[in-house]
Amino acid sequence: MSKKAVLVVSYGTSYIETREKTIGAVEKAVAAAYPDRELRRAFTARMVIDIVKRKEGIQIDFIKDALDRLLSEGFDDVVVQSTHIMNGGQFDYVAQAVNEYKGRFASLCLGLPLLTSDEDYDRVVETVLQEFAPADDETALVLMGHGTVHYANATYSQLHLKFQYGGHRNVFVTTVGGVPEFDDTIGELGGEGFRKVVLVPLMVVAGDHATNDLAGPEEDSLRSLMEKEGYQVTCIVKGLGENPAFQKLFVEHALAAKQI
Amino acid sequence: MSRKAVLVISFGTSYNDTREKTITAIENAIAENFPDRELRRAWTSRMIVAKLKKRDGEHIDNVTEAMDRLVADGFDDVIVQSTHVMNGEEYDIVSDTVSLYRDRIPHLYLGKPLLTTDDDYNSVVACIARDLVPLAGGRPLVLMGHGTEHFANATYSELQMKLYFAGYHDVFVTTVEGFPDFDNTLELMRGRGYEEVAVMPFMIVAGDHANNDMAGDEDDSLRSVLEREGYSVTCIIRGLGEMPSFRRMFIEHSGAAEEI
Repeated sequence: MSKKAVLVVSYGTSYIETREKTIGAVEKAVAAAYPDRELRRAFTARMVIDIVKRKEGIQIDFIKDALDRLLSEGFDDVVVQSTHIMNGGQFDYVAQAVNEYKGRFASLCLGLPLLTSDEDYDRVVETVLQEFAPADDETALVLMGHGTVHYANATYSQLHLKFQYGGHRNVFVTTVGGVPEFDDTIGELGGEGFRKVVLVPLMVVAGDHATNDLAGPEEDSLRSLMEKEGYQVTCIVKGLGENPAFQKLFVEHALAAKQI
Repeated sequence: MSRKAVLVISFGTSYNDTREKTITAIENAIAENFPDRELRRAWTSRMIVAKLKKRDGEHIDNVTEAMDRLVADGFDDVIVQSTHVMNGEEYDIVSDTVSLYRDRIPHLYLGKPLLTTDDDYNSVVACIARDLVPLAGGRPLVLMGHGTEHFANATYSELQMKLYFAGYHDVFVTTVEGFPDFDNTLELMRGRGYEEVAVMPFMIVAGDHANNDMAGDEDDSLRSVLEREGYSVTCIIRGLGEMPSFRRMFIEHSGAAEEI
């Protein structure tokens, strides 16, 4: 009889509470959509795996360890879904690792990141508006992503323009380390008549970046920069992984995983 | 003694006049920069290669043929540069195919597409400002890219954002088959008091897409769509490959090609 598993791969976080509220919640949602599959977890950040092991005594699998274990336990049908936002360096790494196991499972499927196809962008726009739509004309919503030197950094610009061209000119996308940067976004917001901004991390986990880069007291946090411009700032320090509507998007991707 | 080559890979075109001015011009520019390397050419479009063979009796290698021939001719040091605009489907094929020869060519280097790093975007914005904006003669300029289902389609959005942030508020990026589409761009241009606009392909070659999708008489060409909106439209049917500043970027990318 076929042994089936679904492996959910995340970057990882060493904060226990956040981990279960975000990554854990996405995993559970994916597992619920695949009741006939055993749920497995893997992280791609070795540093996080090491910290968790030291602090909690728990061994979380690195992606290849997870796949090796599935092989040795006789699983022959595996779906891999990553909880990455985009097709950047981290997802490249997942895809490469999974590809090395091609032909070693009777069936091996890989689900794509949150923002891959044109339709994915439309779904994310719709979900963001449903969950975070600005309350009034004076309020702008700013989504803060990580940013990357990988060419997939363009994902943030495409998402931003999807809002703008879709008539939602009160929604902006910015990044900590890529394009658009905080200054670009502040420049774009200016002169549009906004008085309040709501800041939301465009990240699955609300960890260090959400706490510090977005909401921290430092002068160069997004909150401080916005306050300096005179905006009344509300920070939502919650990862998208906590949100059932975004969990659902990852479930849809897992259900559409393609044979590699 | 080491035998060295530089292989320039392009999509290809069946328009001979634009071919000389664009693809051949880039090939020659790169070859001049590597006087100790033999220049080789490959095209990725099987349809165009077949068309040329039938029409002109000219054979052009595809990527596999070109790589096989380099191996057979005893080249041990090869730089491969593609003239693709972005890291899309076509470039994935180039990269995957070239990577297969890693063991057969001891020193094998691959240069990146035009728009890969943040620096690339900055350089392209500078090239647009220097070589393309003047061609528009003071009119707003719409650059028409191809567009793709590949996630690299976001490249067009990042370029649009970069142009905007650099202060070029009258330069627009649109695509034939991706996002932003013609309607998105029309919407963005509305209410700005434009009467005349210039359109130009954001493609290396001014071939079929430039002549038909952009400047053609059909109802759904970019020119027709803009004219229906009441603009007076000037079509600049020139490929990016004709512009020295863009050729310079491909030279730089081939010079920075990384060993694979």
